[in-house]
Amino acid sequence: MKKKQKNYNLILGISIVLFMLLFLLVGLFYIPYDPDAMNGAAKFAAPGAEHLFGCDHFGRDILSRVMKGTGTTFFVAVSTVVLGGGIGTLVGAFTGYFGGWVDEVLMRFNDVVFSFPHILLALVFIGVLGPGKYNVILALSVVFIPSFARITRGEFLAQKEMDYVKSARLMGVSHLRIMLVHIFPNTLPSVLSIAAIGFNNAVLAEAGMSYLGIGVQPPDASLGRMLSESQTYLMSAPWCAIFPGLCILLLALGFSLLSDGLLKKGGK
Amino acid sequence: MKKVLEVKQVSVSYKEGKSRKAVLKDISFEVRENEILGLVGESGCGKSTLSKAILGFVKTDEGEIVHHTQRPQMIFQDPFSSLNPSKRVEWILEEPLRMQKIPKEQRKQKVFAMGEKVGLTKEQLRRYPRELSGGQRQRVSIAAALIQGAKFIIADEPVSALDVTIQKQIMELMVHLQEEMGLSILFISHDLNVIYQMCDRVMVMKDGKIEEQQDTEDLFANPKSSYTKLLLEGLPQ
Amino acid sequence: MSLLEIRHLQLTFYDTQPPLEVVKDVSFAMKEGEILGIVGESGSGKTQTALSVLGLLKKHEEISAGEIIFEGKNLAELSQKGLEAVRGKDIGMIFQEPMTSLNPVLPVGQQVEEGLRLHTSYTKEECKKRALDMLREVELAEAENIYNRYPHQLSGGMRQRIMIAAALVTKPKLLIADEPTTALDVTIQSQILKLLKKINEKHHTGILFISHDLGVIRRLCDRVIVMNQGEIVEMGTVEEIFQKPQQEYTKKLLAAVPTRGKSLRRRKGGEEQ
Repeated sequence: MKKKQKNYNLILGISIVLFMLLFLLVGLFYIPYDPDAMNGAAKFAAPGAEHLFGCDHFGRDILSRVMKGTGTTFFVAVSTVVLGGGIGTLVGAFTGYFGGWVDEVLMRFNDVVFSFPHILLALVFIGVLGPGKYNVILALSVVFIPSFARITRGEFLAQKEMDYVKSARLMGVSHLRIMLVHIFPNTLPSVLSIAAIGFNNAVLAEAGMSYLGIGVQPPDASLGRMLSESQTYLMSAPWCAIFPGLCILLLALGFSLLSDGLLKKGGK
Repeated sequence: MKKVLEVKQVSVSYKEGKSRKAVLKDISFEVRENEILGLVGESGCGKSTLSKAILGFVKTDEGEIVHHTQRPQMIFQDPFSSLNPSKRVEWILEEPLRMQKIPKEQRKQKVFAMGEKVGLTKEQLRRYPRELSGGQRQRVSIAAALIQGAKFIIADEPVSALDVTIQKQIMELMVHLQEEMGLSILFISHDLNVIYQMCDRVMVMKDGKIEEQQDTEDLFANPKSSYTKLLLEGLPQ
Repeated sequence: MSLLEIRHLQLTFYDTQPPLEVVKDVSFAMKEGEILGIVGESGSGKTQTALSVLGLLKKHEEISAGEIIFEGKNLAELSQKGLEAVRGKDIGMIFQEPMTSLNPVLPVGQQVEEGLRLHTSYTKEECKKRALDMLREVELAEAENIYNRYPHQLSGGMRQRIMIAAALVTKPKLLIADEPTTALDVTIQSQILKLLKKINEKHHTGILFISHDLGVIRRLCDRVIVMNQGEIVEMGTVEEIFQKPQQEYTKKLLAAVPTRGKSLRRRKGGEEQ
């Protein structure tokens, strides 16, 4: 029997994410003003025809800075998920499929990393490595490995007991091929869903760290940094905070809905 | 009579806490060429462990398992977990051929021919397992087991999850393929009537031991063990 | 008077486009103390018919037409609350999987008592006494000991006996059994069938027995309904259905059941097919 229930989470999530991607794509080719150009005359200009989102305390165009900042945030988040998620998925796949002492050791190590709050651990890394875009990526990736490893391991653990895996073994399929070609596609809904959550966390972590001044360094635009700079003028020029905040909100919401939708689609 | 498999005094046990629990106790039998050997028993009697031991998924403590043909293939009970849900049927059937490094064109041909043999249309071969009925899935499992040219098949409750009318079709298909291809089949079932219709010889298993082993007609006419009698008693004629 | 009468029952699933009629115009009556079997393959609507009597349909499943008359009341019109009063008191039920039907963290004795605590005003001691009696009735040795055990400590056959005890403790007039022996081994299956028969004879409990297994139906039931794709194909006594089936579908079904007497194979010593 086919179920015909609309997956609103997925539809809405994809719409928001697509919208943000479009925003990002436009930002790659066309930005109205130089995001770093200061214009004394336009200091705290309110949103209007000339400056759609208004201007900040240096007279920089907020729309341009938000476009650039979204790009930075996106880059950090995607790199983090690809790096941390990739390694985590591999670790989880191997430990789940083979089990044994390798599994024990890696998973106990995982538990140790997992037991620290994400941000705190990332802060420690930044403390050692120093601030900056690439160090943020590195720190967040390491922090994300355990959650990916854990989910993938669970999936592989369940899948390897299925008869189709035994059947493949009997036909002489190698372990590596079973893992990558036979099992992996079946774990995709879960892996993609956790990737979406990871992306979400990365966006928030990057924003948080930049807000604290240890993430992306000026003059690079970053959504978190813009928030922190606009804090002082929250009452007099709220647009300085509203637009970058809105961007963070939409990114986080979009990917969170996407993750829920993917899980639902996977029937879990 | 030529043999395809010899199982000699095999014992298997599992670790349970500090002690070991014996699952198979001194099992000996043979599977002959061109026969269907039935294996009957209730849940927990060790029949699944036995098939796993033959296939090498379980280590034996003692005894010897000798294969006289290439590795046997297996048909599983649950047609839902035995087929990879994310692959199309033709991909699943091609995979064993890929392992034998058979070129693509030949693979396609072989898959199509095998599909025809088990009663699957070209269109059905292009579907995903979830788009097939239980009976059709079991046809795919049979095709997958036979496509590498295996002569010895272990079938673990292959018809137990199916409706009676479908069950009959699959049983007839298996008997037909056995005769046509000269297969040897170890047919595991809890249903004595199914065993009666399918098998040349029958082994009855209980608590990890073989209770008795006879030609099918003899076993049903003159069961030797009291346990076999008990099984036959609860059975509609 | 009939114990249960189903008139023109029609059941629809609304989660598909277009909505799917799972049961189409099914009518039958059941006498008091009768064992009525419903047999059919998957998708025949046999289980849905039984669940609709109990009011246990899912959200997207609905009785789209028809009446279910039990002791003069139309169950199809009752609210969930009204149904709850009937279910578990006047109608007992047992299902295929005794492990998932029992609560794993409660001693089985308490679960047997549940019906009494919900539907009667017996004291605690009285409840326990009746539960123990019931455990003895379903032939569980050492009832006192079993009373305090948990489901996972019992075998599949014992768990199904617990389910039967829990279903019958309120002395219902009707027991609905949905594939209660399907998950059990052949020897255990025999015992459970004998037990159901004994209870039917002793207490005059009507049993609506759903199964895909023609052999089981034949051994237990007085009358049989054969269903296919949401419709009743044929209805009659066990002798009528099994010896003189009228409909093609029934004949096909009976012919498909593996029996001794005809083999699919030619073998030494066996008769040719």
